[in-house]
Amino acid sequence: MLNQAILEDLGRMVGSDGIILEREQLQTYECDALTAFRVVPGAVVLPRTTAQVQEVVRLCARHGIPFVARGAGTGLSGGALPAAGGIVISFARMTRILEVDIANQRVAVEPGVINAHVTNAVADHGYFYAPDPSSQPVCTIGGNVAENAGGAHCLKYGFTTTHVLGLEVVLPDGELVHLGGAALDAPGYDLTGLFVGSEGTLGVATKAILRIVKRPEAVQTLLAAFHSSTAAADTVSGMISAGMLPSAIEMMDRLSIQATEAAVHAGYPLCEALLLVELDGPVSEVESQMRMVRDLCALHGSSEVRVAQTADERALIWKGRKAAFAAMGRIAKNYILQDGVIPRTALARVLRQIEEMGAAAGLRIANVFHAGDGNLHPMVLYDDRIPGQEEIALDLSYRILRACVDAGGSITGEHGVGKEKQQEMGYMFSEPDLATMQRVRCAFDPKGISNPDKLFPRPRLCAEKAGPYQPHPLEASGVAEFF
Amino acid sequence: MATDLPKLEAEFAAIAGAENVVASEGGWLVSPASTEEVAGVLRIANARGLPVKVIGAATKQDWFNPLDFHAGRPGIVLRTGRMHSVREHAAQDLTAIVDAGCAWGEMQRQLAQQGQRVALDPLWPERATIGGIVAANDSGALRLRYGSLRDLIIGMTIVLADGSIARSGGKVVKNVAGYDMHKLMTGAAGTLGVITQVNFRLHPVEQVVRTLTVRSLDLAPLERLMHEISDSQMVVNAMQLRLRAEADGKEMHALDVMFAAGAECVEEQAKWLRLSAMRLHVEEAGRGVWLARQSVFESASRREAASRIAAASQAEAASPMEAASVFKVSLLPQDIARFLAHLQAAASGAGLRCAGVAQATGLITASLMGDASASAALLRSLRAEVESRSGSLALQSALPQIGPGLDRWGASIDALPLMRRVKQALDPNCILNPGRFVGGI
Repeated sequence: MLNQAILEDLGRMVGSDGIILEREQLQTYECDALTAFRVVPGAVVLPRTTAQVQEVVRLCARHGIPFVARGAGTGLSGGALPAAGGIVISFARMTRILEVDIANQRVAVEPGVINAHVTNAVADHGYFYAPDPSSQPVCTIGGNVAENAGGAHCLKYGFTTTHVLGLEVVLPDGELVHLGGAALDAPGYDLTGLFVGSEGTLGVATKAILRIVKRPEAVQTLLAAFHSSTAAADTVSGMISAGMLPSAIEMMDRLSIQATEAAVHAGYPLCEALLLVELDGPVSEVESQMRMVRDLCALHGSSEVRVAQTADERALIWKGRKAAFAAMGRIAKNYILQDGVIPRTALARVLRQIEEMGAAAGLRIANVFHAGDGNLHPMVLYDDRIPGQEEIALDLSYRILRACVDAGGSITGEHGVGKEKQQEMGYMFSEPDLATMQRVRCAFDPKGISNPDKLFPRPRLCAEKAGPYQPHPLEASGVAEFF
Repeated sequence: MATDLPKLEAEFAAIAGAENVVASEGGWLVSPASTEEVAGVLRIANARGLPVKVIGAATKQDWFNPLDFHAGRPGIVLRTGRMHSVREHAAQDLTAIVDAGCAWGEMQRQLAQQGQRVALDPLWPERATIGGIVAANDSGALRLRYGSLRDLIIGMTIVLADGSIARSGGKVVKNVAGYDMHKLMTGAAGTLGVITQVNFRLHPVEQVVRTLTVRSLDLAPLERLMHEISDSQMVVNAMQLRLRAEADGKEMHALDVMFAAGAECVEEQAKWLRLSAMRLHVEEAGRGVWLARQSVFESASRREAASRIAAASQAEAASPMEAASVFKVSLLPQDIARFLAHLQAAASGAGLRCAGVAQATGLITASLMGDASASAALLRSLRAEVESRSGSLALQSALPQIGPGLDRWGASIDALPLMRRVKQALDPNCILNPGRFVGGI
C-alpha cells in the first residue's frame, strides 16, 4: 500500500528523523494495551506541528491510506491498533503545554501531553486537571479525548468530555477546523461533544483547550470492609439517598484484594467486599459527610472502617486500588479485563450473576469497580497454557457485557469500544441507532480512512444503505425498550 | 400539489388522529403523541420535501432565524405537546427519562417528589418544554456548579428526517459506547432530528440554599470579589453580576452568590463573604434575584410592545424605528465585567438603554433598547469587540426589529462546511427547521 514514492513524501513532510520504517521498530506500534490484537503498520510518523499532521493526512486522503493517531498506547480496547499497511501518527513529539490561563481556569495543550503533566503545570496555583484514568502518569490528552477517558473521580468531576472546551482538529481530508473554544457555547453544533469519545474515527485532534478545577480544601478517604457485596452496595445506595456526592466510591472483591495485597501491600483488610469512599470539599462539609458515611457503614454491618489520616495513608490506599489490574498477575497466568456499566441499583444482583457465570464456566472472576457509577471492571482469570481456556474466558467476558446491557447498562464506561467490542455494539444498539452514527461518521470521513474498522460492528461503506429496521431481541420480547 | 392536499391531511390524520391535525394557512399543525407517530409524520414530509417546524411551547422562537419555507410548498408545524410524560424516574439511580413535550416545571415537580431534580435553571420553566430547552441549549446560573445540558443528558431518542428512530447513550451516567449523538442534538435547533425523549442524570434537591447579594456603585470591587470566590476553595452553586438598571432607580450594581451545602458549611461561607465584601453593602436575597436573566427578556419585550403601540398611533414616517433586542454574549470569565462596563458606557453614549446580567461562567444575557439603527450599529461594534477576545455574540430577538444585514450569530466558523455536511448526512432533503440555524442551515 505504501510505495516508495509515498514513503519519500512522508519523509519530506516530517523529516527523516520523524519516520519509522524498520520492521523491528514498527512492531512497537503493533498494538496498544489490549495486546490480543496486533497489526504491524506500514509506517509510523512523528510530526512536530499541526501543519505536518495536515500534510500527512492529506497524503493519506489522496491515496486512500488508513491512519490512526497514537499517544502513549495505553488504551484498553484496541483503539490505537493500526490498520494493515496503514500509517500511525504518533504524537510523541507534540507534547507542549501551549497556554496556562489560571485566571480563566483554562489550559491549552498539544495532544501528546501526558495527563498528569497538565495537573503538574497548574498545581502551584492550587488547581488540577480532573479526569484521572489509572494510566494518568503516562497516558496522553489526545488519547483521553479520543476515548473520553474517565477515572475514579469522574463520579463527582465528570469525564474528559466535561473538561474539553475546544479542539483543533485535522479532518480526514486534511482540512483544519476549530471546534468549540475557550469561551462556552460557541455558535453552531456541539462538534466538540461529538468528537470527544469518537475513538479516532472522525479525525485527529492536534490541540485541546481544557478546563482545570480548584483543588478542594479537604480530602478524606475511608476504607470499609464488608462481609458481602450486597451490604457494600446497600451502603453505597444509602450515601446516594442521603444526597451525598463523594468524589469516588470504589469496590473490590476478595480475589482482587488478595492479588493487590500480594503485589503492593496496601494493608487492605481481607473481606468479601472492600469499599473505598473519598469525599472532598470544604473542611466542614467533608467532616460532616464523613460522619454520615461511617454511620452508614456501621448500619450495614461493616466489620472494619478506617479513615486515612495523612496524605501518605491516602496515597497507599489509592496505590492498591490503582495497581489492582496489574496485580492480577500474582494470582493468575492471564486475565481479560472488561468494562461494563450497570445502573447502580443492579449492582448486587449483577455481581451475583457474574459469579454464577464464572462458576458455570469453571473460571474465577475478580471484580474491581467504580461502585458509585456502576462501572464494573470484571477480570476473567485463565491460563492460556490450558488448551481452549482462552476461548472460554473470552466468551465469558463478552457474556458479562451482555448481562450489563440486559440490566439496562452499557458495554463500556471508559475504555471505549475500539476493536475489542465492535460486535457488542450490535447488541447494545439497534441497526438505526448505529446507522445514524455511521451517517455522522461519513460526514466527517467519507473515505473511511480515519481509524477504520473500529467502534462499529462491521465495516460499512459510506454509500451503503442501512437495512430495514429490526427490533432488538430484547425490545421485541418486551424486556426493555431502551438501551 | 394542491390536489394532493386533502390526501396528505388524511395521511397525517391516520397517524396522529384527525383531531390532532389542524389545517392552517400554508400547511398543518400536527401534534403526534409518540416517537412512532413523529416518525410517521416525518416519513411523509421527507418523501414530499415538506418543511417541518418543530415547536414545544414556542418560548424561544426568536433565538433562531424564521423558517425558510420552500417556495410554494405547504409546511408542517410539529407540536410536541402531546408527548408530556415523565416516563421513568429511577430515583435510586438518579436518572429519569422524560418526553420532549413535558414542561420543565412539571418535570421538576414530579422529580421533586423523590427529592431530586435536573440541576439546571432554564428560562420560563413553567412553559418551556424539555425539547425546546435542549434544542436551544438554554442554561442559567446553576451551570457554574452543575454544568450545562451536555453534562446532564445521558441519552436521547430522536427521529431523523427520514423517520428512522435512533437512540444514543442510555440510562447510565458513565457510558462511552458509540458517538454522543445527544450532544450533537443539544443546541442544534431541531435541524438534525426531532428530539422525542431525553434521559437525564439527576441531583438531589439541596436542603440548605442561601443567596447573598453584594452591592456597589462600581463594578470593579464586585468583579474582584467574584474572581476571588472563583479562585477559592468555596463551593458555590451560582454567581452572577448584575448591571445596575438606572431606569428602575436602583443605583448600584449587584453580585449575587448562591451557596448550597450542609448548614454549617453554608454558614461559614456566608460569613466569609460578608468579611471579604468589607465596606460593600451585603444583604440576604430571595430566589427572585435568579430570575434576572428572565427579566432582561421581559423588560425588552415590554419595551418592544410599547414602542409598537406608539408607532401605530403616530404617522408612520414621523418617528424613528424603535427596537428592543436581547443578545447572549459568551466570553472568558475574566472579560465579563469589562464587557458590562463597556456596554453601559457605549449604550449611554448612543442614547440607548441597556440591561445585562453575567454568569460567572462567562455567559451574559443583555439587552439594548432605543433607536433601531443605533442599536444595530452598537451591536456590530460589541460583536467585533467580543469576537476579538475569542467570544461570541448571538442575537436572541427577532431580526427585522434590530436591522437587516445583522447576522444572528456573526462569527465566521471554520467548521461551518463540516456542520453543513453533518446536516446533509442526517437531513438530506433539508426539511427540519430549514434555514433556522447558523449559516442558514
